[in-house]
Amino acid sequence: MENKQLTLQLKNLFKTYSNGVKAMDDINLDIHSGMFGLLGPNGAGKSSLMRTIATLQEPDTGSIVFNGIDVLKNPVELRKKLGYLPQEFGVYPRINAYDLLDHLSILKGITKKKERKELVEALLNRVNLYKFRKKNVNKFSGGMKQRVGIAQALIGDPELIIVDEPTAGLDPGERNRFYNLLADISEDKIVILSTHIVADVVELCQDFVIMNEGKVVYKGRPSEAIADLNNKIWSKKIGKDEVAQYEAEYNVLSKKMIGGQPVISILSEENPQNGFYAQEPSLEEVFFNYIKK
Amino acid sequence: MQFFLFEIKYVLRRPIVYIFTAILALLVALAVAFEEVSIGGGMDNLDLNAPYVVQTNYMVMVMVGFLFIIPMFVNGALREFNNNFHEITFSKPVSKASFYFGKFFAGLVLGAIPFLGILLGFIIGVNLPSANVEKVGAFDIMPHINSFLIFIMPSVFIVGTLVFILSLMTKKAMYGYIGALAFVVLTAVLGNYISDLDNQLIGAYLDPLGINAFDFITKYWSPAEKNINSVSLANPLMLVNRLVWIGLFAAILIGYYYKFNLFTNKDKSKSKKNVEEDEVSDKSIAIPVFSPGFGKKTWLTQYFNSVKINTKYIVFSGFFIIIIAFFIVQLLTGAINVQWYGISTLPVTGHVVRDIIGPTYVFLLIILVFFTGELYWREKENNISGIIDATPASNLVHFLGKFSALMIAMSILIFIGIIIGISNQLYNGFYDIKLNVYFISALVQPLLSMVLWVMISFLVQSLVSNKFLGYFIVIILFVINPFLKLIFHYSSNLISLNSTGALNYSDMNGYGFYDSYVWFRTYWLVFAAIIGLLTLMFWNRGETTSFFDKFKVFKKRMTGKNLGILIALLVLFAGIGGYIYYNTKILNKIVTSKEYESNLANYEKLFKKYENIDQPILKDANYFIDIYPDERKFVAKSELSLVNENGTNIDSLHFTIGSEKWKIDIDIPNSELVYESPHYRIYRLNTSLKPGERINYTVHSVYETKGFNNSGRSSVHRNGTFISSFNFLPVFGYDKNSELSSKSKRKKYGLPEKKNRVAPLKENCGKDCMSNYIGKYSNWVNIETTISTIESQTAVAPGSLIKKWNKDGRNYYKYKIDVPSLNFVSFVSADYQVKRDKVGDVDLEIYYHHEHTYNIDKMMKALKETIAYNNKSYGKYYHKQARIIEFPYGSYAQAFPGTMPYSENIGFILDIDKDHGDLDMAFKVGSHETSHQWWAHQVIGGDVQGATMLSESFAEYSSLMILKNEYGEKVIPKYTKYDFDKYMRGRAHESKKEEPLYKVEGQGYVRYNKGGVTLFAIQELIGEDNMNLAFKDFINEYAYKDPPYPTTLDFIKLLEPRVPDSMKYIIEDYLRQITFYDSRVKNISLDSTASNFKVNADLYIKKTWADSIGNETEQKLNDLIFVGLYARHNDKDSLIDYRSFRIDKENTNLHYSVKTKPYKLVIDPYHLLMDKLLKDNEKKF
Repeated sequence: MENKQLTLQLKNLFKTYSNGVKAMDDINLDIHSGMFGLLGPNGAGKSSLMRTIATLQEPDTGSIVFNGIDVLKNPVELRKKLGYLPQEFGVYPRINAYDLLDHLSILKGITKKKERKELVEALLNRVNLYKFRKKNVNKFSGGMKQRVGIAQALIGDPELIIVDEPTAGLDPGERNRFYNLLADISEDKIVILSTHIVADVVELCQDFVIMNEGKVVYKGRPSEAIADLNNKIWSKKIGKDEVAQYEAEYNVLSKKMIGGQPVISILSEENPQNGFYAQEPSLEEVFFNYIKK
Repeated sequence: MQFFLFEIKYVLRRPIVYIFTAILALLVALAVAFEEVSIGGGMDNLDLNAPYVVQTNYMVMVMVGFLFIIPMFVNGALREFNNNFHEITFSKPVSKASFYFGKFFAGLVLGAIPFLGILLGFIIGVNLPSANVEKVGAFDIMPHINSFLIFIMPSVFIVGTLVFILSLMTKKAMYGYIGALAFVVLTAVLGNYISDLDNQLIGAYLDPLGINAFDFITKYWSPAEKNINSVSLANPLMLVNRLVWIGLFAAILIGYYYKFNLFTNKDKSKSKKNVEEDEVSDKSIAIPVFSPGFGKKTWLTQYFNSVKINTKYIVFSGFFIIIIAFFIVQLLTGAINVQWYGISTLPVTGHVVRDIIGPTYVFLLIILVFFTGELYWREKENNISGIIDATPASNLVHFLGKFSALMIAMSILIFIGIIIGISNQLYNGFYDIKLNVYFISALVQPLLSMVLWVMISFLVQSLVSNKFLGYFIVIILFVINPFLKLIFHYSSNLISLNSTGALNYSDMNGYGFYDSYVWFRTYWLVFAAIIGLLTLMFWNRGETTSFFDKFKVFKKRMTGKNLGILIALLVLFAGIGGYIYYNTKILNKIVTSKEYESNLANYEKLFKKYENIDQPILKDANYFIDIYPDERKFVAKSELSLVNENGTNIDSLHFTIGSEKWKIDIDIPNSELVYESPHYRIYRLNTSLKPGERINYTVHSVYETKGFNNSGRSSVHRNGTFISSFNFLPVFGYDKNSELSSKSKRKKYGLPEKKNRVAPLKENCGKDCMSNYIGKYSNWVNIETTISTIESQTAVAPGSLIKKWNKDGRNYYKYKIDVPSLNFVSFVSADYQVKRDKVGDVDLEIYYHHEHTYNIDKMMKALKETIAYNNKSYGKYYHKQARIIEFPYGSYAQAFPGTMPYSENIGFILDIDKDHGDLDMAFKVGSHETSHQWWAHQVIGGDVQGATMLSESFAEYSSLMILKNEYGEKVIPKYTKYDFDKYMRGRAHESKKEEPLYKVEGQGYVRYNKGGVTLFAIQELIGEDNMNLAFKDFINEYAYKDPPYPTTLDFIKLLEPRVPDSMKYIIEDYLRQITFYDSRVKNISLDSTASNFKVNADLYIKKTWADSIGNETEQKLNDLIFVGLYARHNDKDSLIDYRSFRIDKENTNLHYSVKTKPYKLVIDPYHLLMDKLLKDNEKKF
């Protein structure tokens, strides 16, 4: 069992929709094994990029190469090694978890009945849904459905797994459980995780980028990104009517409410005094910082 | 109010209402502009926009309209619920009434709007170029308004109520649809039940859509009435019907309003969600790694898997189940297949298949259109397409899987139809079940013909971005397709989408020669493969894109291997097309109907001048016929001998060659061909033919089949060839039957108007009576035939069999006719069984197909009885034999001298069960045709109006008399009742003008139906003996005599002396006028005494004469009217008294006594008088 070094190279990807929206504006990325985060606000172009890599959408120009496979020319080759969990997916009505995974296994090329049975049962057990294998997937809770989703993405031992906004709509408990599952599977694969929830990236990803308006605005590691902002983040609790004034005067990165009162965080090379206290930077500040530009 | 306005605005912003309006307008406009197609049929003498036509369109379109009436109400009712907006909406202060009635009336308005398309369609249609301007009446808005009031608004209201309530009750759209379909099914079942004559008035009330009421009211309207009147609420029957049904459903609507609760919990269906576990991942479980395969085996597994899940999807869907249910009901209610006179044929497999095929095609189409859309968009609609498209399974797997699933679903429908067919056969005790016929005609043929449309439908869905737009386009394509043929005047199946040569099954001939069908079907299947390939190239994967992007993808895919396949298919398509072209247009010919018409027009323009030239008269004909069934070849050498019976010399012989398919050579010694065109030849004789001189010449006719033709039809069959001398002999001189008869067509080609179809009847008939209507220049001819065929078949020609021999593996027969007869000769060859009998010294022979043994004895009996009776009553039968011969296809019988060929579908497979009181049609048709041996083959009318009365009416009369002698007078009413109905329906659809019986021209309903009954009525009054003496005189004077031929006036001259003075009026009323009686029993009472029963009755009787388009004028009465009394015993009526009364005023009182207690009194129980309303002719005591 080789521990291949997997690479995914995105070069000069452009995509403009017919309504003028630039979904991908010169995306260049090199991604390696492990969990890779794609962070960005809603509408940044994350899903477009995910779909493009997953061979569901063609870019206007650019290239995608996965381990020597020219994806745009040979999408089928990539599909053989791909696992994809879309942002929101539905299933056929009145189909149970077992049959769904069985059906997808066939589509992924696993034809022998015995192999499929073994695989599907293992997957169901792995995501702890074996008990519910004969139940209608449409009646699953959000978290259970996502687990089915990740189970199907794992069929066929894929080398590239794309997970698009997987935790939106899950309660904190479900989200945690899902993270654990993701962390377990990402060892010798490329897993690209797109999200607008900063905490996801912090918890799971070794590398990440921030995307905004179709562009990549930051590339790096979470820890480094946070370290960059050491001693530059300052917070203060202010009055509701003071917010506009402070926004004009300082580089306000975020506004939070604590107990009903606004607390602002600003970026400043030096201590701004004026009642501000030093704040440990988190990835959230990194995020707001780059989004603003 | 709020909801009402909102709903209407919301829906009107979308295209769906406009699309449906456009569809209806299109359908109606096309039907109006193209006379060949009409919605409701039989509109020939009516204006294109006659009120009757307008109303029929509305009536029929209501059914089509269900398609959108239902969604208007369903969507209206469920809009808030489906979008999960209801909790927001209903938490606002809205009133229940506002919601309930607002939504309902919005649905009512929206459902009715598209029917304005019909109004549009009429306005557009009459202005289209192909619309016949002469047949456009003034625009009248009243029929449109009336139709909205009696058809549209009530039907939308009724169906809407049902759908609306069901939707609100169940919160599921499906039940609304199911409810509506169940409603339609019930209405259809009721409709079928009601179409039996007796219950029609009840049926008119029982029908929620008003269709039966409309039919009942207009049943006997003449064309004149239909052009002016429309049925409206002013008509009490219609008004009551509408009020009752609207009232009923309004009550239901209001009733449910009180029960309806705005705030019920919709979410009963969502069961509790499953509980989460703590641990979501068990790391210890290793996921086995299997290398996926991507070779052929994988592909096959994926394909079969795709077939499985898509088939399951279709078969378990509510829509499919509803369709199957509807289909089953349709078949079961239609399974009592009715032919004429209310009798069924035996359920032979061929007929059963024919009965199930019609509905089968309709339902296959519905399944096809609906499910191609559903299947194509399924993954997208379930939001699973992202996952599916990211797998390596190819588009081909998905496409072929869905295609196969659809074919399987269609096969299931067909199998159900077949099972119903077989069950029907077994239930009727019929065990000759031909599985091969089911397989080919019910399964393979329809499935193959659906393949192209399946592909087209998939292609359309792959090109559009909206499933419903896809449905719309496919439906439009399908509707327009048959009209293209009419607009662009082509007949070739190479261009006519999906058309093939015919493939029909006959018990006698099996599938015959099917090469035309096979080649065309293959051609279109290759085309379907091309469409399929294009579909695959457009098949959506990933994000749905604009059409421009789709085309980019198409270009990318259409390279390499795919391009190679496309080219190969195109080459194959062109190759097959070329071969077909060679066969159908070079080896054979296609004549379009337009060409045919213009040929006829040119023929008349060029040659009518020769109409009255002198030509010699045929005296002897010696035929030498060779039939080669397997080679589809028929060779005839006709040696003809003619005499100049005119006073002048004849210098040239003229011939009309009608047929394109026969090669005809005329070999006249000492002559020169001076003019030749495809349809006319003139030979100049070197020496003139002087009066009294004889001339002999030979005609060589060959029918030879090379390759295959466009229609797939042949005159020579593998088994059962039936060809008459008319097919291969040229017509002497100018053939006036070849003239165009339609007024509008004559105008189109610049031909003068034709005054009469037939020469007018007048006292001194002159030249017109010198020829009979069978053929000019030929009277009574000596006919001899030498005919050969293959060893396994028997060949039959008219006359006695002189000699039979075998040579070189072929059978030879020589026949000679026993008495000079009309040159109307039939030649038949098939593998026959023969049943023989004798009556007097006449040999009776029935040649039949070995399977059709069912009615042979009855037919033989009819032959026997008829010859015996007619011999005695009218005159001797001069032939030494009488033959009935079976031939395939068709549904008619004919009479040739001494020979009566019958289609296999008539007589031989009728199902007569006397216990059910069915009419013995085998016997009746048998005796009718046999009677033609006297009426037509001994006496034939001159070629003027009324000639067909002398043959058809007389034959009908004769058959009624023989039935009466065989079964007793009590069976007569059954036949006369149906005859009368056929007459009335026939005249309601008269496309030209109706003539009285003695002047009848082409109208079948007059010469057959009315004629037989009328002559029988005369017989009832003057007595059988007197009547038959008149006929006997007629035979004595005119049978086998040289021209001038007799007319109806000559017969009337012989009839009049046999009619007592007191009854002389019947000659005028029954024969010379179109007479109607309006009879009614007003009151009756019964006085019972010890010894007898005194009957007292008040009758109302009115007599009118009608003119040729139906305007009636009242006449003075002085008529004999029969009155009958019936007694009832064990649920059976029997006639206990039957006598005639002289009635001379409108209101009469009758009183007389009888010995048995009567149960009801009936005026004219034998339906001898033409009376439009029979129900009021009787009354119970």
